Amino acid sequence: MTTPKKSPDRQYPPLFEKIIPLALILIALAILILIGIAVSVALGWFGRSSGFTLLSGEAYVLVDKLVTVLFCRFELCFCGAGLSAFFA
Amino acid sequence: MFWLTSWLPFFSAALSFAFAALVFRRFLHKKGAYLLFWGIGLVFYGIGGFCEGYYGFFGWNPLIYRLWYLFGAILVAAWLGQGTVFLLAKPKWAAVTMVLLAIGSLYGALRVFTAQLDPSLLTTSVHTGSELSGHAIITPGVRTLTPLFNLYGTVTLVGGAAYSAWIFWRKRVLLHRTLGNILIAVGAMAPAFGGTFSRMGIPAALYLGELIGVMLMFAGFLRATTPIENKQTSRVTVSG
Repeated sequence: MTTPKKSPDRQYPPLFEKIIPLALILIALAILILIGIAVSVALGWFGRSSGFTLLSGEAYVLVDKLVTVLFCRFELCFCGAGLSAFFA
Repeated sequence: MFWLTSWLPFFSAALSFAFAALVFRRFLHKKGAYLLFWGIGLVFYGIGGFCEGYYGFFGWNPLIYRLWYLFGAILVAAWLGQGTVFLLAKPKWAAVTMVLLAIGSLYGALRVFTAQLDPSLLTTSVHTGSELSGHAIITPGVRTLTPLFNLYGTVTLVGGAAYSAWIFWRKRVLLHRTLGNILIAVGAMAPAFGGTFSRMGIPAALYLGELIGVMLMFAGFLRATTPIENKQTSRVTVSG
């Protein structure tokens, strides 16, 4: 049987109690967006006019599909978990 | 627009060097390897800003361009992030990643300084040529290095700062460090978003992102190293 986690006996001032978790969630989302942009640039979805890509041909199509599926699912899971934690 | 593409990066550079001096001074007192790497990363940040300002005032110069691409585009985020790795990771992992980063940096320097350049390509795509971009590098494989270094740097620097803030917040201790780390995390992302907007064709977005970034990181560092008086953390009676 697991015991519920005890809240810390100290608290930050009320304003920071609200702002800090929100800021942390936004930072986490921003990191995901940046990783998404980096992957997009590397694969050529973004800024392709410069001819800057790591992959081409069939490898590009395969990784393109794989990353789309994985990234979207991961992002959705993360958003859900973050919001649940915030409103819990 | 001229002041945005010339004075703005010089201001970023001056702020970065001042920030680096403060970090190095702290390193001399506290001797943490993380402070040394942060200081080096901030010097790289300053070099990048200086080269951007130089280009804004005096125009194309191949040496300045190579220095900008190496320090400002490839190395800065990774070396700052390596500081955070030294702060948070086990010493063995920090040492291994440091060796890899050092080898990667030398390789990057070799590739950048032997790359062929064509300054006319700075005006291709959505760029006007008033700011520096990686387009002038012709030799294939050089620009491919940038996202690898920057991804490592962003994940370690921003992720490390956010992780530290999360730990302090969860325990409700050291509010100044929680706030400082949040500012550092946001500041570290500002140049990355600036670069993204720049890629979309918004003029001087990268330079503005860099200035906002160094300002926020500086503010975060000062906040994190300056304790807040105890009266701001109130004790709550836990019943039951």
